[in-house]
Amino acid sequence: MLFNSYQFIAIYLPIVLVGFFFLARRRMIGMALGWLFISSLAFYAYWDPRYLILLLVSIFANYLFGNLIARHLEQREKARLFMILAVSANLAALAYFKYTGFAFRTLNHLPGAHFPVPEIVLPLGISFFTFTQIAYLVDVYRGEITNYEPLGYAVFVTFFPHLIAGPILHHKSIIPQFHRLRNYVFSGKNFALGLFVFAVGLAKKVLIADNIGSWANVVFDHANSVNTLEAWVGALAYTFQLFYDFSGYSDMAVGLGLMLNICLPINFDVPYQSTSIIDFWRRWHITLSAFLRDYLYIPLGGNRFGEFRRYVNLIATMLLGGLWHGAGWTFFVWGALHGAYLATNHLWRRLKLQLYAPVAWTATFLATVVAWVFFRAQRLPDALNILGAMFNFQAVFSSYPLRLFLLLPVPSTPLAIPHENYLIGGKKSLIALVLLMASIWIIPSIRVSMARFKPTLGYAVITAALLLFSMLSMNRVAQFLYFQF
Amino acid sequence: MTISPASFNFLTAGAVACGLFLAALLNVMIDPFELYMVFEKNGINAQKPELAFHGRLTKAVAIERKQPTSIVLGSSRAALGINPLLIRTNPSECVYNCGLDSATMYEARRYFEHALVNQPHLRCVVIGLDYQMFDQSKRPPEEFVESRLCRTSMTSKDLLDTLLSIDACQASLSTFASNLMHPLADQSYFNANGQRNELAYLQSPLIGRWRSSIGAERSVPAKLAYSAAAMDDLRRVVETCRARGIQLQLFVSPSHAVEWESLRANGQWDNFCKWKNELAQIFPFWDFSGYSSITTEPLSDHMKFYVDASHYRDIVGGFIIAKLFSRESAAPRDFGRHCDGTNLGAINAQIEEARRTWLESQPDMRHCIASLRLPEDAEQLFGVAGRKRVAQIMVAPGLQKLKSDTGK
Repeated sequence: MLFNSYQFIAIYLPIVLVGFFFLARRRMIGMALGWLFISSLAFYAYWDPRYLILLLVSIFANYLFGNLIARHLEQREKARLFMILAVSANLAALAYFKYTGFAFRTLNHLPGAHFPVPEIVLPLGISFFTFTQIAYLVDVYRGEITNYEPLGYAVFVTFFPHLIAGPILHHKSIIPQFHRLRNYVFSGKNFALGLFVFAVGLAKKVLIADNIGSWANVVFDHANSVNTLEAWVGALAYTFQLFYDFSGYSDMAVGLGLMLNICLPINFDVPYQSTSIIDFWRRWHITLSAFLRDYLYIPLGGNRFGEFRRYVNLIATMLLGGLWHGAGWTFFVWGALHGAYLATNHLWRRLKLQLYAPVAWTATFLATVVAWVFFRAQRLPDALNILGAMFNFQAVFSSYPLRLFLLLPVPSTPLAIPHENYLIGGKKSLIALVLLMASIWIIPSIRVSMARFKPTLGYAVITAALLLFSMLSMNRVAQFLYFQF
Repeated sequence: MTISPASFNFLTAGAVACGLFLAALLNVMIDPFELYMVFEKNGINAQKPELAFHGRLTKAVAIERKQPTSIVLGSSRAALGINPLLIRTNPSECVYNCGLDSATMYEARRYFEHALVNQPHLRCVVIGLDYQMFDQSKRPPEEFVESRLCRTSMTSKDLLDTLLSIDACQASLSTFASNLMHPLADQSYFNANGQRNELAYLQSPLIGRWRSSIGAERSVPAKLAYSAAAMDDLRRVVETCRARGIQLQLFVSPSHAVEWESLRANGQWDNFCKWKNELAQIFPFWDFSGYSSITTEPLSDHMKFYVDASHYRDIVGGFIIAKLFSRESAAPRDFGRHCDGTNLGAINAQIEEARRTWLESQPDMRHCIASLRLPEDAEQLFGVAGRKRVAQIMVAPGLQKLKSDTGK
């Protein structure tokens, strides 16, 4: 079930909210928490009930291992063994579901290799619930927490707002909230803020991301035959689609949490305003950055073993972060690029070099767009073709605006954009992309929006309008254009 | 103005609920896709121009509602030319034209099965077969939705899409505006019996119609075989009809001679003949293709039998039905040949002979089609048309190809 569906908004969510606060009002706190667990499982099972067992086994086993580790904290070797065993089991499950097909496809590139590639369906949210639980196991081992009671732990892992697309929750900030009695009392104020944040997220996803996705799709589907303009439109459309889609979904999760009096972490903080890659990773998918920093980069040694080792650790962290996003060489290259960007950025800082802010912003944005091309492309050659088209300077120099700018002779029909096969949005897409570039600076981050929010008539109108237009845009009547016979 | 959180929540939720209710009300009342049928008034919603883009949805729902006992299947040619009322045996019988624009044989089979689920006592099925329906590169369009077929009520998705969507609201507003501006014009894309509205089509410019209909052949790459899967779809329909005792009538559409020439120019004629041969192995059919006194009607601005090179008019549809059901009519004798699998060679020879005779008896036409060197030559195709209009027609790829082939 997706947040942007009528099943979720009109049926599931009201039932969950009414059930939760009804039980809480009758002082049945355990039942209310149990209700959240059951309804989160139902949310998950709606997609495919078969993988519910995997989720439940994962929760049960990790909780058990957490207990074992906590009980043997005095015997460090044993605790360490349990921790390694549990983390390995989590990673093995993730590897099996996510990377088996990729591994076989890669092996088949070897001469004479013809392994049948197994068709394994990736269980929804496995990357997220694996990471949240690894963080829990490591923290128990570090002695940072005592073990939690089972129901609170189970709700923390399955809590429906974050279950399938994050943000990656940290047990320390969430589980205590399930035990705060005040959180079981319906709060009109929190609900209003939650409604507003949910509306903003829904609008980002439905009104912006879903409308520009097709512009990128057609370009990436024809990577070897696009021209410079189309390649740029495709790359930029995807850059904005991904941001508005993912940040919209994260915002919706935050809004849903607030409706239930649970504060979830902010995941995006206007990342495209960044003036450096280091800055970018503090604003993009913040909860993943924090996880990778705390549970990968620092355990690898962080910056404790000199500069060179720091760069190696950064690149290794980002490579693994890339593969976490998807099983494929394109994700690997995306991670490698960001690792290299980060290493360069740290070196740059170490050399105390300064860039004029607009130049720094442009360089950061372009570097991010180039990396997104790898992230989106189906295959590496597709990404290289699109980048080749984007930076085809011969085509750029023969283009009308540049020729005009350089006072060179221009075509006789200057205002007509040449017929573009893969520019399906036409001139509209160019105007929309200019507006989306402007939106980087105009649309405030959800953190700022939440701070500014007050229950006023104006906000009520904005929230209702965003919700109404988004809900009416969630459904589409497919058209048949009779252009051909 | 700051309000209490409770008022904020109440106002927001209330406004959203009211907005959704009003949207649904608008879409039910205007009913741009002819699904709900609660209200119809001239000047408000009687004309449904939006049906042009949603035929597959509307016809699927119409079959559920009407449960017709006799149906017409096929592409836009059958949809436009065959009046289903002509196939009913008594005035109370419910008949429906399920022809779909740019249909594939797969879609035709699925709509046949949908009709059967909704009307187990299906009596008669007439299928207008077109070579393009069997093109192996052709896929059903996005508008074709498998899940809405073989059921007796609308899917929840279709309900939500047609009641609570911006697309539906836009369609309602455009339908309303169109009705308001032209209250008496006949703009509905198809009639209540599913037949496409010929008058609405004739309102579009002649040149555009002819260009696009000849250009259609471009979608069939030269030397491409027709789809074996599509032939299997036809076989399944035939087997079901045989098993359930449903009267089945098949015919190959009578496109205009210019289209057959365009087909030849694209190198598809031999494949077309092979296709007919395989059809004949599956089930006897009436072959209206080729050159008859109907299909060689001289081209002009006001044609009696054709709206474009591909689509025949209602009157021709009447002749077809008369031939299929052996009824008396004014249909010329040279129009259509019954093909039972043993006589196709003779029929093809007759077609070649008819083509020779036609080209010989029409020196102007022959000149135009055989050489098509200059727009001035082709001008004779239309008689009254100016040079510029003819030049536009020459852009049609079929004629372009013909021109280049014959120019060698």
